[in-house]
Amino acid sequence: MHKFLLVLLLVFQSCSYISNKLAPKIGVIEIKSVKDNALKIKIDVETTEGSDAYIQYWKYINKEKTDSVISYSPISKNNSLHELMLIDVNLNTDYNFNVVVQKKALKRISKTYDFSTVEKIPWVPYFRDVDSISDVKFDGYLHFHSRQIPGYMFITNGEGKLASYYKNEANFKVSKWTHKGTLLGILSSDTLHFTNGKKIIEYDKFGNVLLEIETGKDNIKHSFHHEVDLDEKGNIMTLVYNHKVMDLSSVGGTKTDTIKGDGILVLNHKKEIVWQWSVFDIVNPLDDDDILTSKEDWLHANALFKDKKGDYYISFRNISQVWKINGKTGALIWKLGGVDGDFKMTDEAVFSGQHDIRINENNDLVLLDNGNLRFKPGFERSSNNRKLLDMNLYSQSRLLTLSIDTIQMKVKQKDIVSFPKKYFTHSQGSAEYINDSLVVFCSTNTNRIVFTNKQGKVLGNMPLEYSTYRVQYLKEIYSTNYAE
Amino acid sequence: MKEKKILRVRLYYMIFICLITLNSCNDDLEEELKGQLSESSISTESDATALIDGVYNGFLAGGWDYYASGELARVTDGITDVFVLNDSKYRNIETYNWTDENIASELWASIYTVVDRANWAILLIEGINESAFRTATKEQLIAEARFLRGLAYFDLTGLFGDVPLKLEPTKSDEVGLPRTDVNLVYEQIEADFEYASIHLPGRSGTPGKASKGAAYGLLAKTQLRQLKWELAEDNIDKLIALGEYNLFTEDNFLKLFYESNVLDDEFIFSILSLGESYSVASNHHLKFFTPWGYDTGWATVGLPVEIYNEMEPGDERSEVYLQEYPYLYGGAIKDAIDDFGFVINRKFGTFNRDVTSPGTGTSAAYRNYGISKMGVPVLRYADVLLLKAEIENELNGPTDIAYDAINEVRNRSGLSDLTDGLSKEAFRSAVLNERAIELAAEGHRKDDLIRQGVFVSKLNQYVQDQGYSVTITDDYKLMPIPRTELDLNPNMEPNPSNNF
Repeated sequence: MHKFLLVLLLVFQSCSYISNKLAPKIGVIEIKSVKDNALKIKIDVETTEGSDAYIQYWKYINKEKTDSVISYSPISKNNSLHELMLIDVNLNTDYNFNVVVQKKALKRISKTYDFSTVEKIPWVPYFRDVDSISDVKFDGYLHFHSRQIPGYMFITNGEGKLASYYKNEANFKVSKWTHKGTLLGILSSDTLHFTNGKKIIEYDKFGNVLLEIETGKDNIKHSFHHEVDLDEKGNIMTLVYNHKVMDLSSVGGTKTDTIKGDGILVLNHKKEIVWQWSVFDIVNPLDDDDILTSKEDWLHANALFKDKKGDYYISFRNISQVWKINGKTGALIWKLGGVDGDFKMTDEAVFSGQHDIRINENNDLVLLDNGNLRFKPGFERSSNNRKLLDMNLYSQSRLLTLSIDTIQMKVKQKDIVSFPKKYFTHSQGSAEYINDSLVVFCSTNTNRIVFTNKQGKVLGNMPLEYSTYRVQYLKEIYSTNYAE
Repeated sequence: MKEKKILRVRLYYMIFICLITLNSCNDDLEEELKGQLSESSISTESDATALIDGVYNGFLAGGWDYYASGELARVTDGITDVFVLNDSKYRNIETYNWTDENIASELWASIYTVVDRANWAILLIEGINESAFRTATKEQLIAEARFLRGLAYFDLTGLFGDVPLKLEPTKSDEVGLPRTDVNLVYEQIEADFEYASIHLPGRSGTPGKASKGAAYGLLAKTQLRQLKWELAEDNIDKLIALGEYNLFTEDNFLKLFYESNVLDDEFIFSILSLGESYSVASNHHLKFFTPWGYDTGWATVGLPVEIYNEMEPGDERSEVYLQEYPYLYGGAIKDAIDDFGFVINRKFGTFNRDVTSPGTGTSAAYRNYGISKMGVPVLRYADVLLLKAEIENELNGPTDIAYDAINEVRNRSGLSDLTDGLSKEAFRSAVLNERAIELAAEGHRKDDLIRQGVFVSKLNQYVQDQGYSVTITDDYKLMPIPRTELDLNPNMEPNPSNNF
């Protein structure tokens, strides 16, 4: 019996010895800063051939160092030289880390090392105000940008701490975190009005440029504005301007007047046009009584969304309307809102000057109703004598969730979050639920990211140095299921 | 039994073989950590420029504070006899009812934000390799940051006197510093402006950037606060000798303040804004100096009647100081003194937006409502010439040089030369008066009154004219230290005005 136990012990010992011996090995671990980015840490690791590697790193959240938060880097697979990068670290923080290397079912963890991040990066225009968000904490991240030169895209965590940033010498007018974990931006080298730009750029999460599309190159004639995203196939979809020259002499214009209208452009990563659509294919500018005054920015599209069935939704600010467009033929399916919408709407569902439209998993239409009375359906824009101040004095921006009944052709509000008047944004902005009890509202005009509960009660706000067009909630920056 | 033994032997044997094999097929990797993180990841000129831009940004504080929205003007000229504030929000400042110790707390915070950003910029730019700079030199960018820090401290000391002198960026929530003797702060301000005057280039086409001339001018103003007349004259002369500035004579005085003229070479240094939109890069200045009935301004403020009545006949500056004004909604011309008890000062009015929204009346007033690219002048050439006249008079009496300087400003507004043969005292008084009319609401009167020792007498006269029941003493020269600072910082001492 004793002998048997001895043998068993030997077997166990030799097993762990064997697995330790068989586990992939770790050689040189080299840690270095990334040029021009204080929040990217590069760690190169040498391992046994054909291994996977990632970094697990943690920071202590109490002085006694008994409580910590652990994170994992993106994984590098099947290699012997791994160029790993931490892309979710905070400033002025001490971290410990291990290299984790695995091959088949065998895993090895390195010794524990440490590093500290820089205290402050005041050249990056995001300054966290601890007091203003002390009551706000959530799981996940926010993505937004800084509309200035140079431009920055930001990712902040649920405590408002900067987790990642990306810089460009031009100005980000619009930015988007895509479903493929890349970042898209519309760039411009001016700081002028609106969200118009002549370049689309795509970065991977590490900050490498994946794609650049420029107006005037590669047969792309259009300039881009207000929206850029990847569709389900990974193609770039964006809003563009189309110019149409036509005879407006019948309404007091010239015989060769130019109208600036909107279009949709879908491009693949070879910069080839896959699909395009123009508002001029659907409506005749001469049917608009105000075409002479509105021809320079006719309907002003400001948001684009593609649903699971492949149809597009496009938001027009000037007419407070959302259109559904057939994703194959480009035909108009319906118009919702405004003065000539196809749906009956309850008074509370009526929106004006809306932004940031999307269809949620329940097939409801979700949008930010800016509540700008200048675009209220039926409002006479010629009445210049009314005080602008007074006009929007009691205006509120709202997050609207609308159920669309296409049988009865009725729209009614399912959910409304009314934001305080103080944060009313007459133009731009976005709003969405972070979770059941927390809403994030981008109040572009007040340079604030505002957090409220479902009732619209303010829980906190993040003051911004420069305005951002939208704020986007991200559940995660990348999946770390390999480490769990 | 025998078989069992054989089995056992085989097992040991196999384990042994395994271990030998494992040991022999080892890859040769030895774990080792190399490398380290660099202290700062800032390494490019564009980052350095962005740091400097962040400092400039602080002067507009989002468009609503410090130099924007008339905030600074309200606690400089606003407490004197050239700028009357009848808005409910600022009425307590106007009537010297300073019982609210936080009456200037927002300014304190905004200005220290600028100081901190400037300190960060200096520290970080010093750490950048020389080879990174192509369009500007490293010294030039540091000089820009030091100039802006100098201006921030110049404003702080003007408002509060002794203030904590911070030359290092804030890195932790350490307990606040005590107040530094104002003379030591002046030493530092002078050092910053001197460095700027050496390393900054000339005007380069925009008064929105710190320059050699601006540094000479503000250095002189800092020296004048300390009554260092000779040194101040030296720097004023250097500024004039640059030959980059002259008075705006292309059109009437009002148009100097038009949006299209923000880059005119009368402006030596201004806080400029892009006027991108209502909330982005606009200084909102145009809403805070005029009443609604004139141009949709939000401010019942203007030029006191007493100063207006001292203007000589034919003074073209009455184009700016408007008694009879066209009512916003049309109809008969109205009288500002009847309506408001003061004269409208339209240096910073909505109708000055001749670029973004030309014209008058409601349509111009509502177009791009509240957005402006108008500058906020910090130092302009007329101010410099009048200082030249004043300093020359203090040092050498009313010489031809002194007369020439004041006359240049008077002639520009259609006035004849100042009466010849004035005594030193009479000339001093004439310059002080000329400065009041020329620079009303631009923030220089308080320094003028203190420098000439007439702060108490002039303001008591003003209080009497306006009918406020208060007696002005030297204690009114400094604003209360914000109550918030006194509560948070055990090292902070109050000003006499904290006890009002």
